Amino acid sequence: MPLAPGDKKALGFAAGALFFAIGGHLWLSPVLGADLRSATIRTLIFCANLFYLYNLIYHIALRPRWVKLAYLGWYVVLFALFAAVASVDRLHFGGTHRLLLFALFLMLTSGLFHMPAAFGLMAVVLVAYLVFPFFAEATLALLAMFYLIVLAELRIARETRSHLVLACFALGYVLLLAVLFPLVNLGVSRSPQDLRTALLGADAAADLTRRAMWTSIQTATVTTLVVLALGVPLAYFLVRSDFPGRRVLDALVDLPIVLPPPVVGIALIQLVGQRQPLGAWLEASFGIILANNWKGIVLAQTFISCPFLIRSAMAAFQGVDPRLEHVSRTLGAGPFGTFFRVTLPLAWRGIFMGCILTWGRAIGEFSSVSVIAEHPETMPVRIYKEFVNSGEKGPAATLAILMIVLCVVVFAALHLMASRTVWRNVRTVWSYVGGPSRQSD
Amino acid sequence: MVRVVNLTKRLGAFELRGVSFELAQGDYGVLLGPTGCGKTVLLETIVGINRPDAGEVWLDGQDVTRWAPERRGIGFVYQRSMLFPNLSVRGNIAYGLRYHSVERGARAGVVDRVAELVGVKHLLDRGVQGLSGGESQKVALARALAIEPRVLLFDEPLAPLDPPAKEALCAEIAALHRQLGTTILHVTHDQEEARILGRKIGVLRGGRLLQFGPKDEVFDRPNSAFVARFLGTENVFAGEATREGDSTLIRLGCGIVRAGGTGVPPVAHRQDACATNLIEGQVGLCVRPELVSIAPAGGTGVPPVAHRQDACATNQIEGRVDAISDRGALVRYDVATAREHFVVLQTKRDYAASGLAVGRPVALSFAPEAAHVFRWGDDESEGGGHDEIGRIGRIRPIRPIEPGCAPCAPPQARR
Repeated sequence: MPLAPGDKKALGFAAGALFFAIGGHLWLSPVLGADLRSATIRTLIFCANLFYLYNLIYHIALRPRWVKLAYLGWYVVLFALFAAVASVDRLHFGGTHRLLLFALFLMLTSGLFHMPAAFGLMAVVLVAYLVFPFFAEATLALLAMFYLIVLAELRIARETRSHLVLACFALGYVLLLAVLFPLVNLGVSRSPQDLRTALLGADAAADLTRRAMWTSIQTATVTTLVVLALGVPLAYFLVRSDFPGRRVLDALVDLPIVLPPPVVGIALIQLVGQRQPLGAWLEASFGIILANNWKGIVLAQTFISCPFLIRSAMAAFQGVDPRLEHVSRTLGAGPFGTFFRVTLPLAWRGIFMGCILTWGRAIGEFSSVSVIAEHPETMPVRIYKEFVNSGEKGPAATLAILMIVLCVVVFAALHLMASRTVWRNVRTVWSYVGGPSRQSD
Repeated sequence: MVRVVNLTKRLGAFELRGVSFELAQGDYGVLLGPTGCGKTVLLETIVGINRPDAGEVWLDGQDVTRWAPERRGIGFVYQRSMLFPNLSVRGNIAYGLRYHSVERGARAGVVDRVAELVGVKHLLDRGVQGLSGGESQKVALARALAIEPRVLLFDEPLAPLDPPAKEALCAEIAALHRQLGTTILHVTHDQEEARILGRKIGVLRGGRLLQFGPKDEVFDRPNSAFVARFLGTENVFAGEATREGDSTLIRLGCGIVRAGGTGVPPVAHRQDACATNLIEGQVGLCVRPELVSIAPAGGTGVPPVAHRQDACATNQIEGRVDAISDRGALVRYDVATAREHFVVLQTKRDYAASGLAVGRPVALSFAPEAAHVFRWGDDESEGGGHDEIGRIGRIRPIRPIEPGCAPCAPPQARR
């Protein structure tokens, strides 16, 4: 069968490339050192090279020029990564392994060149493990996240023909990195077994940890309930009222955010400390001791964390059109009936979000709590003490991870509870599983 | 029955100033006014959401001024339907029933009946989010009707709808009113709605009720330039009036015209001169655009009065066509005369027959009966800058008329 001119050209190109590959291979073997002289490895790498070439000629050759260049460039990058970077001793992979890996990645990525998403992830893995080996896991997680978001955003940018959003993301991610990198890095620095021992172990330290954990959860929850009961009415008042000093009061709500927490602790202990008039009176009259007591912790946490709930609730109430309340009044509902049947159902999601924030702020509060109540220990107080006692290599990091896990789990659970979709799905599943069906009544 | 007496309320920039009117049982009142004239404040004051600074609100012979809104039993439909988004359509309609001693078992029946009446029965089990504009207004109407209100208040319920939905809901409301005989007070800025629905019409401006009365009276006999303009009579001019027999001669910038005469019957319940157009001094003159006839210059208008020979006897004014625009069934001419600017509406058929074009000199004429004269009040120019119509409506009174009827000056050639 006669060859078409195009085919002839391709054939010539293929033959030339093959020749070049063999030549380059023979030339490189002595350069790269002893391990390459192993016949198996040499054959393997040669096969990988051939496969890479095959893909170039039969698939990549049809693509635009920049893809071809990227394909060839990627070979150089891989080669550099393994030949140059990986030759340093401290790497996880050394000696024969890096060449095996080189061959492996060569074959994998040449196939993946058709799937930019998968190819990019592969590149991310390589960069994370070869360029930042000390922080490999954290780098891998954060780079992969960055890469996937950029991919999705690129698709949107192609639609809207604007890269502004993408550029903003790239800049904003620097900030996100500053937050996430230390956390993820800390999170992967201890094994799950360490966490288990620290929390469930039989020794005294684990017992202390359990108690501190429990104190933290209890006080934060009580605090949230207190702020909920008192903050929601305050928020509603601030949103619906209009008196001359309203703006001042509005600004005062944020005061606890501005004040340094130790100041708050000092202010509170000055008031309710056992030697202070009010504290002494409370103790004498009602037997209520606030200092070094969980009630004192709740007091400090309430002070610190109330703005979050009040602000969220205010935003939520602002979102409820007063005219809805008016209509409810004209239909016969009194002011209280209107609040509970219209306003609250419409605002509860925002209020709930405020509860989450308040809970999170309360459980994390350290300095004001440590001033008013060093005992019973909350988690932040315990972590700080451990850090002071034994520094960064000690159990403080393990406890910190426990705290991260606790907060993340609770946050995720609460956010799920506030999500419409989740409830709808739960209802759907419930109706299948045999909950009360609507048709029957 | 609703009676509002001297209602006064200051609320931020809005101010109601001594609003008084009365609607009989089963009446349909429409209050018209431009945006920001205090319509919503008025309704909210009647319904009890605002407490008036002065004045009273009476419902069926009871002074309810100090009652809480939930005691008044007034149905209220807002411009945006304001359905409770956390409830289904059924929940919305049933919302008020528990407060109006409807037994738990009977509620579903009431909801079904009202939904049937308003035509939203098929929507009952839907959420309110996916409803169209017309549907949600109907649900809001059903919700207000379910409590069997003593009065229904509508705050521009048709404004957010597109024209077909508006038309449909308008007809629906008219039918419901015929069927139920509920007293309805409706505020809007759309004179079409007022014409279709209203039996009593009021015009509000800057928190003041300028005129309130039966529909025809308000439309045909506006008592001020603002009312005239707002209700679509764009030809409003200031002039100086003198009596001459049964008719009134009015000197305008472009000539002298005749208004009223023996043909104008006085309005029954009005005793003042305005009812017969027989007033003197500074007056306003208005002619509805569809009552002005337009013809190429040189034609004759109204037959001249026997004893007068001059042009003003024929109510004929010369001018030039400035613009012609298509208004659907009608054609609108903007005609410039010596001093005034006339608007004329003509049917398409007449337009085709007349062969008029932009730039042609024309003669305008109108029957003396078509011209309505009202006293030119002191407040015509006051606050004129506050709203769109007031700004257009600012007219400078002209110099007083000299004795006798000077021959009308021919229209000046436009430069």
